[in-house]
Amino acid sequence: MLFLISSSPDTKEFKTAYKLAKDMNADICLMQNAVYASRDLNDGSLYLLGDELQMRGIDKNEISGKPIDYHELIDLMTNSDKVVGIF
Amino acid sequence: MDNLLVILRKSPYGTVEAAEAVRHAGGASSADYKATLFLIDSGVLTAKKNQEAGDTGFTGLGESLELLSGEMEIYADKASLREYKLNEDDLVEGVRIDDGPVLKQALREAQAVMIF
Amino acid sequence: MSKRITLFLNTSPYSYENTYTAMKLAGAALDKGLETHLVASADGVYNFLKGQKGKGLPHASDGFRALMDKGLKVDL
Repeated sequence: MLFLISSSPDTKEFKTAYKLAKDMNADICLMQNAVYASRDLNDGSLYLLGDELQMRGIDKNEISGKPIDYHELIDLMTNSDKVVGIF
Repeated sequence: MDNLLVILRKSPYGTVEAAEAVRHAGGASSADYKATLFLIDSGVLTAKKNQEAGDTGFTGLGESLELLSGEMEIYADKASLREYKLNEDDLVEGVRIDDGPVLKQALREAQAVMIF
Repeated sequence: MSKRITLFLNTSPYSYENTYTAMKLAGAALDKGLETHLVASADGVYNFLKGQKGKGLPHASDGFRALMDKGLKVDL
């Protein structure tokens, strides 16, 4: 299972989605404003959209997790039994 | 001189609020208002250095702040910067840091306050 | 049979980053040869209005038009 999370880390939506994903041992990809969370979470299992980090001036040295591009995200999505998250 | 305070509480790009705050503050300034843009909560992330919108089609907001800082006052809230683990060196040129008094004064003086 | 991916977009074009994310994902899926669909609902249908004059943000209808020319199938 793959969770796509786009909300800012300070929102209830982010916190709920992150906790639920962790509880379910799901993969997580952070996109849009959710990528800011990679600066605080010590979670090496996260996938992060690299373009979103770059647009926001977030350097790879200040994050935990693995930056990926949109093609890699499509691979993750198509290889997951379920993708949770709407735009 | 007419006096506008724009407060931005949202981080850039994910929603249009940050771009709108910058656009309204910039528009007021170019129309000879005294405009102040105040970044608070996750709005301080808009002032983070090294933003690269590249060919995404988005306007790079860090660069916009740098350009606008020549014609208006732009502040970032100190406590919010601390919360988001940013210090002065992490910010684009021209953004000043306030630990409380500037915001209170700006709220008292502004004829209108726009909050994004 | 080729894999199929369906994206769902229900927000307006210039208030959220979702339009950009949807365009990038659709583009990547098409690059990979996937049968790529997008369903637009609620305010998402505004992404496809003619005559948009947006600036400073990714242009919704131009972006989706280009993707539809590459094979994106859109349902409103």
